[in-house]
Amino acid sequence: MASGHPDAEGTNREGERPEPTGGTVEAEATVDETSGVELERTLSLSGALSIGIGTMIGAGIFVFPGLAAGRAGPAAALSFAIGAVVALLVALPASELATAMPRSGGGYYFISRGLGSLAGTVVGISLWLGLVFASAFYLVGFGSYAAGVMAELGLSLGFDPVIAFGVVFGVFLTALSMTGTENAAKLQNGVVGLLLVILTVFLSYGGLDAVGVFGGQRAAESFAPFGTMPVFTTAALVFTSYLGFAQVATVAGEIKQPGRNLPLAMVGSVVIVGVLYVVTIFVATSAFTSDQLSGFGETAMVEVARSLIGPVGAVAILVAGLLATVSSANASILSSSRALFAISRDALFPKRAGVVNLRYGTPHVALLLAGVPVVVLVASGAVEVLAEVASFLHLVMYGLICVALIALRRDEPDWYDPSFRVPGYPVVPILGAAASFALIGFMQFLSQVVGVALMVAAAGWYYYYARDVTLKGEL
Amino acid sequence: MLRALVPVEVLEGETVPQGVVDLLGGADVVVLGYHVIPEQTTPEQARLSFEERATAKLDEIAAAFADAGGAVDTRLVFTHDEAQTFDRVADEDGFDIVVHLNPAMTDDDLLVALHGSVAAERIGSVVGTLVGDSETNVHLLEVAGPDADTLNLLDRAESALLDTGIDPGRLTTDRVETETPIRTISEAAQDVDAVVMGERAPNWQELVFGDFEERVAEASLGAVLVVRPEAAVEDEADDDA
Repeated sequence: MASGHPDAEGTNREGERPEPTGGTVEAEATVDETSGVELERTLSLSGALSIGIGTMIGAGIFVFPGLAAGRAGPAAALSFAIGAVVALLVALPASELATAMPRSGGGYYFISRGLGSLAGTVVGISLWLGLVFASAFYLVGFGSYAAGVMAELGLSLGFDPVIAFGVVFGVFLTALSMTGTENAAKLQNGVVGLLLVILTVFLSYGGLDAVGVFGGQRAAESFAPFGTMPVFTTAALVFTSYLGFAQVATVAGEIKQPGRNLPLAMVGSVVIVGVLYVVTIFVATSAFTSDQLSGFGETAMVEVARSLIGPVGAVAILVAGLLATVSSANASILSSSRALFAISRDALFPKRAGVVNLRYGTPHVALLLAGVPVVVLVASGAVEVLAEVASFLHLVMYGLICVALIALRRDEPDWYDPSFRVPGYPVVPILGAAASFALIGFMQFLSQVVGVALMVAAAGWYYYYARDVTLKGEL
Repeated sequence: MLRALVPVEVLEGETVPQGVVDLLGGADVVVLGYHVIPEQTTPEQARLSFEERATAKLDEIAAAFADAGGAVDTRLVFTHDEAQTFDRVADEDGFDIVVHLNPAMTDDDLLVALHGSVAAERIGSVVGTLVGDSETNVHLLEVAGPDADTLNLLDRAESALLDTGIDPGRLTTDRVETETPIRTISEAAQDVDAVVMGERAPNWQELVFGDFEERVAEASLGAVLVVRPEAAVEDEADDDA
């Protein structure tokens, strides 16, 4: 138990108490010590970056360009840029909190300690479900690419294979993570590296082509053919492409030298993918009109690659799309299970949810609680709603992260000693909170209804199950 | 007193053979219980589920060392990467020996395999201190590559070993040249109870159980004891100063 830090208190409906954590963590720590047991931190900066980028890149590049261009025209590039700015405004405060509290659960942990257990429960459950929605969305994207491969090979199944592929892979990924596959992280690092290479080559060529170096034909179109409003609604839609930096925070308890690596991984992954997204949209809208892109749907980038580079390009992007969407879905299921663990550790959710089985060493209950709803949601096939609900639930957390930062800074507990302090305080967190909440306002009505309903349900759960648990200000 | 680190994969049913307990009887032993968890699981989560069981197993092992008359401490680690853990712990506490367990072992015969750029004097004196007045026989074997003639590992190790005062009658020496050192050492290890090797200079291979030690351990029946260079201990002292 950490000296001088009060531990969280109270019991939930089943009489379970929050587990004590190990107190403060040094900025250079490579191991934590909790009641005499050592917990090794093994994730390096590149591993953390790969989680962030790997989660994000699947959506922004391989699913959204067609949908976004169909809504906002070439100005969709601006929508992605807006998303990047909002994400950065949150990533900076989140980095400060993460260096002060590098613990499993990320945003949930910061908010439960900064704002108390009601906000904590709502955010924790939102994070779990937000990642479930995100994962389902990536799997529908995966289904689109798998269907694209079938089409490319001239195979026909007699039914629309998109949902079927998504469901099958959802089941497959869940089963795989429950059996504790080894080397999935190494594979993920390799996949992310390969994707970055493919994209850099493709986008450099496409970018040069778009500015006329190779004398190709530009699709002539005004920048914002549908007006200004769609730029913002599209920004709200595509914000799902920026959720990955929060996943970095959910594994904060496993990152080496958290004081240095957490801010670099969170801010760095947003900057890297933000640049890639904006260039992607620029290349795509230079090659085709927004009507054409919209018609291509989720796999628009395949057609862009085909027109720029030919069949080889189309195949490369198809393969890249399969890898990217799977890696995003997988990373999200894993983060979702960590979010569940974090709330069950704090007695806001039954402890059973976080139990690890000895045979495989995996938290099978938490993985099922993430994987099963993912598969159900994939079956709905509602890409845009899935994406927006995922963003909604994350944006609430992002807004509250900024609020929690302000709350902690105004009345700093003894243990609050972040090694990274957000520049431009308090402007950055205030803007971050305002932008996060504002972006929710630009979503479809259905997404807002689903999002609000889930949060109300989470609050109801808190009053039913865990109203006596106090976490605020405890470490 | 010699400090020995004994990592035990405690929840996988790994135990410490009596031979290792006897061999390390005179050393200051730290039993490092470790459990490798898959990336789906956080170390903290594994601790909540497994700490009790792991601690109980560790206490049993510690009791065995205590019965043999040694000073023993235990540590418990949950990790995604055991190599990183061994390195960290070995460096933190200035251990002289790190032990790689294998299932079967008595402590009658010890093979000391000298190969590559290892600190031969250091190995000799550590082994001499380790076996002390026991009955254990020591076979010094220099495994030389075609270009390693100038190192004179065998003589350096032997004189350091004899300086510790052990009975020369318990000592045999031999020297072989080979291009396949791992196979040679492993074959020689078949006839003895445990192998002692030196940790090689940390250039490209910094791990306590690097590839080389790992492969010898896989091919051997008994434990592999890696003698750490003295420099690590001095660094530790500098850090503390």
